[in-house]
Amino acid sequence: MTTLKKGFGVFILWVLMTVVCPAQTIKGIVTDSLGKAVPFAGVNLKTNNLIVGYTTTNEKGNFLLPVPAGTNQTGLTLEISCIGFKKASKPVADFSKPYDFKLTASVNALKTVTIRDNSKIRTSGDTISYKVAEFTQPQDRTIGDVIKKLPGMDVDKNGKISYNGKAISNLYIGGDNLLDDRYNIATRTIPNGVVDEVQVMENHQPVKMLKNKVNSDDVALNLTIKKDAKMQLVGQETVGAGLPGNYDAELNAMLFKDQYKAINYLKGNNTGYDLQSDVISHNLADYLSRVDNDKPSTVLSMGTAGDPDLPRNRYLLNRSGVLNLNNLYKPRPDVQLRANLSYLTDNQRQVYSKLSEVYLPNDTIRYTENQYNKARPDILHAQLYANYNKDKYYLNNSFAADYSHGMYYSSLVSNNVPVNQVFKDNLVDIANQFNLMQTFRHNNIIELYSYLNRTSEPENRVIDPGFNPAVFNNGVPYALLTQNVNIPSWFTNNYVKLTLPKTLVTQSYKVGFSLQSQRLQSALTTTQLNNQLNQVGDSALNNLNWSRRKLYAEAGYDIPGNVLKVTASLPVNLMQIAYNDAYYQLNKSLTRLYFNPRLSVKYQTGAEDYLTAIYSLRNDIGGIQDVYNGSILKNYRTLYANNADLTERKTQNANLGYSYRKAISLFFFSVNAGYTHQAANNITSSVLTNNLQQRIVLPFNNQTDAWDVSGAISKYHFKLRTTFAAGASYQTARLNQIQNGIILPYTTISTSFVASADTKVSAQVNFNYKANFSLVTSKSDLVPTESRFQRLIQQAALNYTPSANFLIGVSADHYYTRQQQAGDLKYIFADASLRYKINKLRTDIELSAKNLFNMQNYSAVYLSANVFTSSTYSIPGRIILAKVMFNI
Amino acid sequence: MRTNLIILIVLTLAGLQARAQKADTAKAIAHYKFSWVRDTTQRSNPYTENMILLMGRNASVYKSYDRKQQEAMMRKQVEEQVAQIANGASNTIQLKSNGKGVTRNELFLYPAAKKMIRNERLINYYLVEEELPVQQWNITADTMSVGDLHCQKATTHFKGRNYTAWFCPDLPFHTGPWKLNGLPGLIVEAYDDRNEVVFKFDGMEDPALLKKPEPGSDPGSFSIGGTSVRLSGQDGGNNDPRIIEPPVSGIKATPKEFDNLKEAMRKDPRAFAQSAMAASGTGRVVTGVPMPAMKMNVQSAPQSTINNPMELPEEK
Repeated sequence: MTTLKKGFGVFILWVLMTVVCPAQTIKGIVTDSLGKAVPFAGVNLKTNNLIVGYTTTNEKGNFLLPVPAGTNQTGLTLEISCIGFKKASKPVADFSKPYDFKLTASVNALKTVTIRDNSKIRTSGDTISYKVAEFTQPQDRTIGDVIKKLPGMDVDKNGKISYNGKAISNLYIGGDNLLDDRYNIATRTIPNGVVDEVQVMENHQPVKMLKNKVNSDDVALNLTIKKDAKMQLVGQETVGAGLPGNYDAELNAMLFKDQYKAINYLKGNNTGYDLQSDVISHNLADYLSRVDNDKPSTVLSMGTAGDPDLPRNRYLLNRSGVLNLNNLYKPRPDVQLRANLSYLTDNQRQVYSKLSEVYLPNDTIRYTENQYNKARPDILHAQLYANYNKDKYYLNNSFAADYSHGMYYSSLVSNNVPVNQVFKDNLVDIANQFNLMQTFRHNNIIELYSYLNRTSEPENRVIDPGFNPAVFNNGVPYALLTQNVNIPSWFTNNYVKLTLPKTLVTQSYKVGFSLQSQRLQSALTTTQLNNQLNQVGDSALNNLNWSRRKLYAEAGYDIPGNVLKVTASLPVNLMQIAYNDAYYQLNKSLTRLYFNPRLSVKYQTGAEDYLTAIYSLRNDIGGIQDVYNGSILKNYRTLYANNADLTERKTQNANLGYSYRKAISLFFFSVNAGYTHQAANNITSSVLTNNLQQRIVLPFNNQTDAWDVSGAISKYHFKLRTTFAAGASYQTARLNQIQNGIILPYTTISTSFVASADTKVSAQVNFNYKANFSLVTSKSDLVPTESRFQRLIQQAALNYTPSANFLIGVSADHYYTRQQQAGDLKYIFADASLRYKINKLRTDIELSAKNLFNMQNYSAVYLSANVFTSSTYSIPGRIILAKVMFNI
Repeated sequence: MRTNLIILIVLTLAGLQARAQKADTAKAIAHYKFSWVRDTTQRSNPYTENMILLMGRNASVYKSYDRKQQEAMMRKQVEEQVAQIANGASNTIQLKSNGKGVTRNELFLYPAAKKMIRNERLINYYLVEEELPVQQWNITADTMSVGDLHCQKATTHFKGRNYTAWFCPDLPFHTGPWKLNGLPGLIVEAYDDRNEVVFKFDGMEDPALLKKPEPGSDPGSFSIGGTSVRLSGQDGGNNDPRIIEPPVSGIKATPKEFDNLKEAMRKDPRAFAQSAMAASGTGRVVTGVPMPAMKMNVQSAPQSTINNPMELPEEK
């Protein structure tokens, strides 16, 4: 009886349950055009084109589809698919009404999929994986060649990689951090054949204990290594020789074991391949601004001509060599010990002539210069790194030492006066970063951080014989003009941080201090004909002491939601700056309290698309190089001095972005818009004379505004086996210039478009094309003329593989420049190569020709609103090179 | 004695040959590379085989592609050697397989009818009908593209293993390799979490391009000089390779009956083979002209050890 009662109770409850909370189901019937039931048709419930629930119809064509719990009820569609019928779909709004479908028959409902091509891309949460083999083309040698072609990926001319418009933070190899952000070492060395997948990790949080607690909008790449390549030594040995007198050699050895990873190489060439770019630290500027380390920059230079606006390998006249050793050892899976060591030596030549004209309202000032420059840098970089990354414990120590020794020589003809310059530049930079995190009670995390940096860079430049005696030696002939500068500097930044993760919000509180102590010493001296040393004037001497002390407290909030991620940081800084130079009776100090908030919001509008919004306010103060009173001859015709107070800048920045991807169909799209407003309390002004350009800083309420909008789109077309990409950007900036006492507000607008296609025409032929168009206009209301600068760069390459071991490649780039008041400039460069593979010997033989049309000079003309410059550079002519490449 | 009795019972079932299911025509064909770590002491050297899946409106069949190739090769060998016998150059047929074991059975799935027919071969074809294996799939939002097939990920636990499957909603076949089925699209790739059982997609084929044999011909037989030879154990089910249908000559059996039969063969293979051959009437030469007596000598590679079955017992 009791059981019966109980049973009855359960029954009642069950009835009630069904009444009170009806299971959410969608029902309907599927018939053909004649009204006949279609049995066993697939019924799929989709959101964002992904199936979330499914069923099939019964014999009578009826279906009853339970909606899975937790399904987002907006944006649902119901799709019927059945062999022999066309697909049908309806949006779902209301679960109570029936969804009936009438299918139309289709003879060939199924597209014939006869592809045996396995182009693969995989997504899993925040990770997208590209199968390298599927994107590889016969001409590719290193993984960098393949990454360039991946849809959604962009590689700039320095090798910096961006994914859907965002620069990557790091490139991991087999999950390990071998190189930090100096990843050109990997992309230019690792053979594409050893890499299985390139993985893109969005929202990458490298610290294990912070995962899902503290937001990260970093994007990192990981290269997964093929099993067989993990076992053994990998390497490619190349020797090449060519005409006229060219060589190119590379010996490398790599290991990708789970416990031990290494990329070690020796490279040398005089064919224009810039080895310095191998060791570029791509995120250095970001890193230094995060650490708040404002390092002094090099003060002196040799001349005024920069590099031509061509790819570096087109104009570089070099003799470079580099030894690069990167070794990582993992005694345990969560412990990494690493040493990176590189030594680079180079001997570069630069030959150019330049004409500059500056148009002033009632005058035109003209400079001409011809230079023959030689640069001999020796650069040594050493880094030691230890990292413990455990679930509850994190320790990271990174020690870096940089030494560079540079010797620069120049023979110069300036306004028809010949002089020689010798410039010595020695930099020592030592830094240590220590970071410790420990999880304790209630999952709270305590962090200790310490950063210490010492730099010193004595610079010495001598100009002879007696240059411009009217300015530097009261019109008396003299022997040498010597400028010395050094800014030895100490910087330290230390903090303690407490992180309190809760389910919804992670709070963090940080207190710390930083100290910067610098001294700027400089002297401009003349050596008279009798070897007597004299100071130039009474205001070309500096002995400036500088200190910046900062005390800060910061509250941070992270909402690490799946749909909404919010990060807010609210730092309050108390800053005290003091500087003095007894010679100029300069003794100033100022104290400021700054609030520099930053808010970033990321809203996931769908599984693969999101909106981001960022606002930041930043107050900062100039550095030691903004306050020295004594003149420094920065280059042979620019005297630089300050006579104003420190620059105080207040920068507001707002950014809005939308990123969309549909990885499954290899479609990527992003748009960004930004606005920056900066208010500063001074302005740089120039005083121009025929032989000298003097810059001084004046107090001025200087407001600048800049807007920018950009978008990029990239898509792989499966049928055409082509990656299409396009991008556009628009920037406008309003800023002020003062020249010879006149304030000129300028509006500069730059627009650029880029489009590219990379296609596999057949198994034997592939082709790529890229066009880049930019237009810069600059205009001031006070100056009647407007300047317009247009440039179109086109690049194309065709590769043909008639048989598995033979490859023919041709490529060309075309540069077209147009601006009014100057003739059009057109340059075309062409390259060709033949490669033959001897499989038995694991050897490739390559014959290549660079700059087939033998262009030996390159001219660049630039006209801004009131400055016209025309530069002509000597560039390497045709190079024919034969190479033998052996694979270990 | 008892074994003989069982054999007899089963063999009498031969008379009950009947069409198991209305024939279906393949609308699509998928190729898979199947790999299976049979011997856990040799993980780096798994068993591999090329498999093929034919899909129709209501039915699908999963079978060995390597076997098809091997049989074609065998047929060629027999053809050549029978020709030599006919010339009097030889009186023995020596067949060599390529030294690789292949999957002998074929799995016919009928999702709508909720049943599965295993076409097992023990000299004769035995059609073992069972319930359709059902997997409880968990659909995730992860995606992958294989060629231009866009796939979504699903996971399940089946026969002691945790499987990940990638299915393609654009190919609305509710089937997949082996016994995996029931997703709203063809399963193009599947593997267990230990990577011991892997079905890797190896391309699609258009069934319309399959060669249709000449009418009346039988892929399991051929004739030489007026001699018609029929080979036993060849894929002699249907003439049209696009038809999804168990062999008409198949003998219906329940799973239990078939297990008993297998057991019988294991215990007394000789007696089993003799009675089976007698019952089926195959494996003999039907002569038009007098032929010297022939001996059949079939060699195949020894089976490797299996210590890691595909279907593991559920841990309780």
